[in-house]
Amino acid sequence: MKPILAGRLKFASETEAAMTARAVPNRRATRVFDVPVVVDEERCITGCHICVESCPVDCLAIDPASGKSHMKYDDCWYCLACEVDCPTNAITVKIPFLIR
Amino acid sequence: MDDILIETDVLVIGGGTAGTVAAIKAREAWPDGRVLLLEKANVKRSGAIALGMDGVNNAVIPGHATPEEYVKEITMANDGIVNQAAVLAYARESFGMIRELESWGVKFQKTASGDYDVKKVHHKGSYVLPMPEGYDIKKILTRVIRQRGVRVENRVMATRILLDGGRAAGALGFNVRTGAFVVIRARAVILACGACGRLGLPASGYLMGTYENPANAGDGYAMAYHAGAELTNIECFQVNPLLKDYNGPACAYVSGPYGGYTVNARGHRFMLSDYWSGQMMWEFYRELNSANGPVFLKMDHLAPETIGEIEQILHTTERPSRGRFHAGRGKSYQTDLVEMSVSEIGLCSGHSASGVWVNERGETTVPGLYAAGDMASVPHGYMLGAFTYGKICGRNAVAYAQSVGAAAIDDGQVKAERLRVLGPLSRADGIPPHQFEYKLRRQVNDYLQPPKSGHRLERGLEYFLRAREELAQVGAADPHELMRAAEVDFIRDCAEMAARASLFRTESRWGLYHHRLDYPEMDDQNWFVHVNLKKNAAGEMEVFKRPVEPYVVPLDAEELRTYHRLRIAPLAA
Repeated sequence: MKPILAGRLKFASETEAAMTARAVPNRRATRVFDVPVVVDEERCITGCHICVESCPVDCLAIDPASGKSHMKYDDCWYCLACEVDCPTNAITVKIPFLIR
Repeated sequence: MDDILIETDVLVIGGGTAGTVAAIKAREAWPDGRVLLLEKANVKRSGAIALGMDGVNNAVIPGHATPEEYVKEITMANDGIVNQAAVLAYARESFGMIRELESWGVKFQKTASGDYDVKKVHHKGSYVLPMPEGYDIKKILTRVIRQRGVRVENRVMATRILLDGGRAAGALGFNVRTGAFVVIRARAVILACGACGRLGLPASGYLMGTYENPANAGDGYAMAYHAGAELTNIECFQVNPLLKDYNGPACAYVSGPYGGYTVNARGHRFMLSDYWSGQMMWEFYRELNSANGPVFLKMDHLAPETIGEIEQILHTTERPSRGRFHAGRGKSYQTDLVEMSVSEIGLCSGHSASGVWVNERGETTVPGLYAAGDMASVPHGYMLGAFTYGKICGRNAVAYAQSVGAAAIDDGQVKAERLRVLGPLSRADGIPPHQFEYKLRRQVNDYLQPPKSGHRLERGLEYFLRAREELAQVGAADPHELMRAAEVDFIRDCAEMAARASLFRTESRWGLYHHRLDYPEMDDQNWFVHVNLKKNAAGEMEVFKRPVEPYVVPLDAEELRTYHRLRIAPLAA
């Protein structure tokens, strides 16, 4: 690695600058989203996973810590399958913020 | 993790509209045969009709329409580029399909005298049959699947067709919950994977805010392509008039028969028919982008009871969260016009004409491989087209499977696919699939959204080829992300097909669906043909002309232009 000179970047060429570390896996930052599927944990039955099976995009999962359903992946199509199929009316689907 | 090996006689990939009926019909035709239905979601809530459907858009019911009249209507709506034999096969069998669905418990609207309550939405004939209680149709189909003894494997995603010397021999894929690699050997394969609904990016920027069920990512188009099958009319994109932002149907097919219609911002009607065709979308697009835009669906002139009936249908079937969307903005069909917009592009024969080439027997150009529904080439099929071609494919796939021996498994193909499709799991901190997808689909909007131009399409193609290299950087932290990684690979394949087919057809046709700014006229002299594409022996994407088969229902030149006369002359100022 060449020393960084005043007024110059550390690379010999723009191509070198563009390619260096480009393919290095680097998942670091996370961004938190407000997600559409809201689960009322009081009503959600531990052991039931009807909503998880209903979801056409597989975005729901049972939280191993609480035993309750939650929206694990930000893939919701706001189709209402989980809300309609929930036997205890524990689920409310909000229209995603970007759309509502 | 060990591979999972499954043996079957007939494999159906996709448990939505077409696939469920294909599996039911295959079992009925071969009670001793094994039928496996593969679904990457769960058949009870999967596919385009996961939450039901509000009506049949193309019912050919004796006394209301003849199969020949229907073939003429669809030929006009597609500017003549149709394989009429395949449309006629649908038209002849579709009424039997309706009767069969009724015997399974599906309810269609009847008049007081007991006749089917058929409505007119198309430009010429009457083909729309409401089903206001259509919300549970998928649950009914799931019950029939169980009764017939179909084996169902949910949450398994197919990624490639297994081939034995050019013949379909099964499929390869993985379990989207466990990541286990799955090898399925079959004597015949039916693809029923739905549209490519995640091609363009919705204007909202919300990746899954698509018109189609976003699970329909073009899986079937890409798998058929890699199996060597021909695809057709890919440049005839799906572009729909939808509720702005919500991006679902408004839906003029439901409200139209009650008296609703599309208007511009001055409250004036500007086209004669709300039936979705390329020409209709062209008139819609022009009005939307004129001084008279935006465009609205108008219902507020109807009686409150009538609007209530429309709301009851629209807010319980197909996309039941529509009512919640409107209410959240303080809007109501009773008092407000419903703002509409133009959707992002997709590939879908169900509404347009893009698909894997099939003939009137549902056969693709690969022996033992069948295709049905939104991904097969029979145009404007909608739900009933998917059911009916599911039935046709189920029957014919069984006849084929009974005529051939067991296929051999190509270990080389299995090994290569395991390495390819599971690859992202070895790069857990690689580019997340949703990041790759956002960029890919944004470029689809930038370069492929019509009106199209050659220069823009070429730039798009350049990016889609570069995106193939970028795919090697996509990583998956778990099997769910692996599913998304496999899907973005399919979406990229579809984007490349869409760019190449659009570049090849140097004319304009199908209104907005293929409007080329650099070739604005329709050119029957050179382009009264299908544009087909396939993967050639060298592994390259080859685009070529395929002649339109001689018509079985003749139309004269004047009739062929019927759909070009949709515009209502503006009122004098």
